[in-house]
Amino acid sequence: MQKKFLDRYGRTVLKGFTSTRSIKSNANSELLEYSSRSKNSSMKKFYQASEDFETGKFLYPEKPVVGYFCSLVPEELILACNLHPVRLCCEENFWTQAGEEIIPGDVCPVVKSICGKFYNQMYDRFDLVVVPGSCDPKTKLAELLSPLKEVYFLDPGRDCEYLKNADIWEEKYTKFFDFLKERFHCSSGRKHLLSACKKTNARTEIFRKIYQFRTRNPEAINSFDYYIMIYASFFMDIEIWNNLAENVYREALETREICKNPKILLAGTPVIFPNFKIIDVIEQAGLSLAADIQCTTFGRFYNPVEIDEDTDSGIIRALSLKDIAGSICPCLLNLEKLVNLIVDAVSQYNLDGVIYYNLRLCQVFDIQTAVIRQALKEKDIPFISIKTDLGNQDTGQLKTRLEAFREMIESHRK
Amino acid sequence: MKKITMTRRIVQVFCLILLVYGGYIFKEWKQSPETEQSLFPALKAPAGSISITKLEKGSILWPSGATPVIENYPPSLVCRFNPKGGMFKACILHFFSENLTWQTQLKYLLPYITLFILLCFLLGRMWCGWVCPIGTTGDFLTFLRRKMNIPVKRFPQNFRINLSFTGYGLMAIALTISTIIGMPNFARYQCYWFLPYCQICPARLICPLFGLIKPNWKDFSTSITTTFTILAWIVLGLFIAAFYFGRRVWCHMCPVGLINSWFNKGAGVELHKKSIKCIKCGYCADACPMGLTKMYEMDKDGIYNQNSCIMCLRCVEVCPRKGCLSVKFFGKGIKIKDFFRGKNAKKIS
Ligand code: SF4
Ligand code: SF4
Ligand code: SF4
Repeated sequence: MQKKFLDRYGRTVLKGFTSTRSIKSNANSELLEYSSRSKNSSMKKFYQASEDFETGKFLYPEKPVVGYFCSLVPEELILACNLHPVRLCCEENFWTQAGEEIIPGDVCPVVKSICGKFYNQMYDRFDLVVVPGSCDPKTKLAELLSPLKEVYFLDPGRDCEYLKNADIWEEKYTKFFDFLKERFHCSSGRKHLLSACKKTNARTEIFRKIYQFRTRNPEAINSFDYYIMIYASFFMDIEIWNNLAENVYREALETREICKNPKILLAGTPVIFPNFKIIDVIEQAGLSLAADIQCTTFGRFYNPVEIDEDTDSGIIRALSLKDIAGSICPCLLNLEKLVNLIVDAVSQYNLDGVIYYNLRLCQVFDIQTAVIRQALKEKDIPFISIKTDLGNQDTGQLKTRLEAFREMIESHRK
Repeated sequence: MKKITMTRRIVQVFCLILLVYGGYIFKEWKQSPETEQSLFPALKAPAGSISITKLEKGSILWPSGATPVIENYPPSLVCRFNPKGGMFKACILHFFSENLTWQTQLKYLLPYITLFILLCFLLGRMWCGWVCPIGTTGDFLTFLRRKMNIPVKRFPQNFRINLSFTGYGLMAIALTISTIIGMPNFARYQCYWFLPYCQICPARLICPLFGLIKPNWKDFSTSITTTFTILAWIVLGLFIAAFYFGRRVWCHMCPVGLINSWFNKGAGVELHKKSIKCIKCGYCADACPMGLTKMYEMDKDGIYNQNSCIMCLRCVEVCPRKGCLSVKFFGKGIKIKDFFRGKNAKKIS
């Protein structure tokens, strides 16, 4: 990136910026509330870790920390270089308002809150930030962050067709890996890559178990617990996370409950702590969130790395297939896949309806709505699309809409 | 390693041992070279025609130190160059070339051809993925390459199609020569032109090594044998390069594989795709050793058996979506995944 240019003008932006760090976000009180609703005692550690992360008390291992956004950045490559990857996606109203100062206007709230957090020195511990060029705001984010942090821009392209692009992805990922190796002076090779993939595959395995379990019994690990687990996976050490998640799953297996509420599938914008408005409303409306198809959960964890050629380049290629070709990111050309996934999940898990959640100002999710609505209408699956922002003003209205949706599902069932 | 691949490797090694060293294991079946009695008398070489024993020991077709083999023709047999007579002799191409030269009557060949077609009809080209010792050797070379961290070379579609045309060309030439030298007028050429493909086949130089016998690698006695020997070396070089830098590139032009491939579509072993499950991750196409992409591209449900598919089932194995790709036997699910995965079923959806 044109470092000089950004140094000059980026610093100016910084200078005019008044830090809001002294004001506290209310994420922690929310955490307390959610953890009190949890029926699973093993979840405590995840809640604790999330609280620590929010307050900046989180203890990272003695390694350089690399922040990244999106599932399009290969976590395994970061792990293989013996670095600590932290996913930085953030949807928080508080920080969005802080970010207003840097990017005012009708801009994606996620990018705003990320900027808010960065410019308030919340992420000072980070050595490097990897920003993928998945969507336009993210691309610009790379430039906005570069006065503060070292930024690596990884552009996978918008086409996830394997036949056309596999070589390009392999090349881009290899360059990224080489960069990491050079930047952090490590000589990682096949052995490290393999062991990193082994860790993420173990995570996939445990995630699949939980995902599958929740489709049958969504109450045993409620949706708050579930999304807190996902949130904790953003920053926790992967092996610790695996063990804790395994405990949660074991405990959940014992506490069987029968779910009477209609089960729904949540698709669309990822739900990231502390933006739990939507799942809160879903619960209040008497619906059970039994499955989801989102990039933070399904898209990130569901596919294992399938290593066919265990050479360096073969492993990197396998990673690119998992992260890009198999991606459900709405920025890429994969609407057909998404529709198929939703329809298939509904029939496979006997779900009653689909809620498509859409964060205001994110066009890509918005544009897809019509097609998904039409496809589900043809299959006679109840569908509702919800467009909202990070604020809490419309909670009551959303609840009414979802209650009406529940009634529709119940009449549809008969 | 995943379960299907592991099973496949075990089967491959087992078949390699059985086919190459079967002759040692089943000693009592071995015939003495003098009496030259065949287990299947129908296929004895007719009197007056060139037959194995009439070839001088040490000729191209007869590695030194080897004894005659049992004449036995299940489909796609292993090579005639196996020392001490592997339990089975010769591949299907050998079978056709030899019998065209001998002008064996069809009624004698019929049982073998029927058996061959029946097995092909049931299993398709499974021979290539699971049995063929040459394929196994090649997979071993691929394994070495991977261990040495050399990236695989992916050849473009056109190149692979051209390879199969080359294979068909070679096969046509070999069969034509075999037919011509079978005619009484041309019988005198038999001693040089007998089994022309076998004389340049890489197996000529590889198979004897399995029995620690020196292959006949430098027959420069006449211009014809010199040509054949040089060609054999070139083909061997191509063979090793093909397996070493790519995966199973050789198998696109191997005549035996090509004959088997005619039966792939409509074979009993069916590969099914349920396209609604597919997330277009490309794992299947990336893992296919033959570089096939139909299972990835297909947008409708159904069978995706393809001619070049060697039925290694790798695609089924790597597909991360349960129920997307599956193997069936005449439309019946063989639950291969559930069987292998047991209760730790990794694929939950
Ligand atoms: S194509 Fe030929 S060499 Fe390859 S596995 Fe089949 S028979 Fe063997
Ligand atoms: S299509 Fe599947 S079974 Fe056939 S060769 Fe390719 S990976 Fe093997
Ligand atoms: S591996 Fe399975 S899900 Fe992936 S592209 Fe192939 S068929 Fe589709």
